[in-house]
Amino acid sequence: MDRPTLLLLITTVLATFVVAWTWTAAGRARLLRATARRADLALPADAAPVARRLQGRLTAGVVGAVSGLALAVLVVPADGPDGAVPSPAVPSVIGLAFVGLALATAAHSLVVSRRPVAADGPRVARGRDVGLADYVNGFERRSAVVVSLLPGVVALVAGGAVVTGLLEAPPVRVGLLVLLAVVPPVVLVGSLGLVRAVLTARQPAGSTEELAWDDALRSLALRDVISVPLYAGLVATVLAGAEIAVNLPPALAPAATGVLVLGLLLVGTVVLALSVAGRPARHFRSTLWPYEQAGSRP
Amino acid sequence: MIIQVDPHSPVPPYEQVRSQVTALVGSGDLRPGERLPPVRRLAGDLGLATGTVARAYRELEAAGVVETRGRNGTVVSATGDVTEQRAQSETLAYLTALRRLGLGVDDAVRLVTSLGPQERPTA
Repeated sequence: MDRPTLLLLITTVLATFVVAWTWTAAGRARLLRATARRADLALPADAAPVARRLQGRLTAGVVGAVSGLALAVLVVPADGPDGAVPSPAVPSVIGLAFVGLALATAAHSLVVSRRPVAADGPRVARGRDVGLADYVNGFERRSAVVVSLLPGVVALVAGGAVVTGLLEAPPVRVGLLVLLAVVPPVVLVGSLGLVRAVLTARQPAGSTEELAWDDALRSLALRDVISVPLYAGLVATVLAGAEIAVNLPPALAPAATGVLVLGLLLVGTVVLALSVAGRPARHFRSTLWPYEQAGSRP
Repeated sequence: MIIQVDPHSPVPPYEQVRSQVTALVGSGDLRPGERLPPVRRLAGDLGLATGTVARAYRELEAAGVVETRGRNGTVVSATGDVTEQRAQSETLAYLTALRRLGLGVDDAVRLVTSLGPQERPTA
């Protein structure tokens, strides 16, 4: 069994257990408490509708990710074209899983936004327009753009190396480098379109608490979407860098490979640390909800 | 900066929206240049007809609280404090009424300052 198919099988089994768990009352309650903790929101007075939404979101995300994986297993060659080193097979499969997850959670967010406004009781709305900056912190937003453009920079460097004779094409596959340079920005544009759809959707609410929870879930969906170009750019940069490194003259290849690996590890660690430190799941609290309004977690 | 509409209130929904946006601007919760939600979205969020919200926005624009900038939506006006704008508007109306009686600005000042403490309206 090849690696992508094995990955699909393991993921499907795990996903089935996770989804089944959320169909139990205990599972839903735990999911609600975990989300409240992440977003620093008080548990809602009427927990059932929010718990159901979280369950629906998780189910949609899991189904989307598994569907993306299944599609990847069908279309992505097991070992990459011409035995490419490193093989793009597994990163591509994971990437399609990300795409599936993001599409599914965004779609779930859009479907839920169509719920009717309560006929009786007050109706609550925000008095100002909102944007992506209200839900996703600046570091993540800017990283998505910068990382999407990185493969293009790498491709330009490769082009310069070919012109100066440091690299020869072939064996450097110019077509692959062009593809790796183009895909992440296209993914970014597609993601921003999906972001816009989520941001312009309705947010019917009967209380500030309900609106705050809607914002929390919207924040999760938007961060799922924005992570796709981040991942695509990162993977494309690694593959493009590797394509150059392995085709450098023998005297330069080991050093170049070392620099590539160390550089990516360093950048990856810094990005992850800064991202986690920024408490991204709570960003919307600082922009949209002063703590005394939405109620902090006790 | 929350707008709340009560469907059972005797106050018409457009007036509830208009007065609450005015209050948010007056309190500084909505600052000059900040964009209001698009008419269609606010209507959808509050379960109101698009025309109801559009009317509220029109009245806010007529009062100088907001400005419509076409595709850039409706933004809070940068032309100063709402209270000051209303005061200017009311002052103009008062002076216009006095002019019809053949009186001028000096007469207006004299009449205001001649009011005794007990005759002046309290806040």
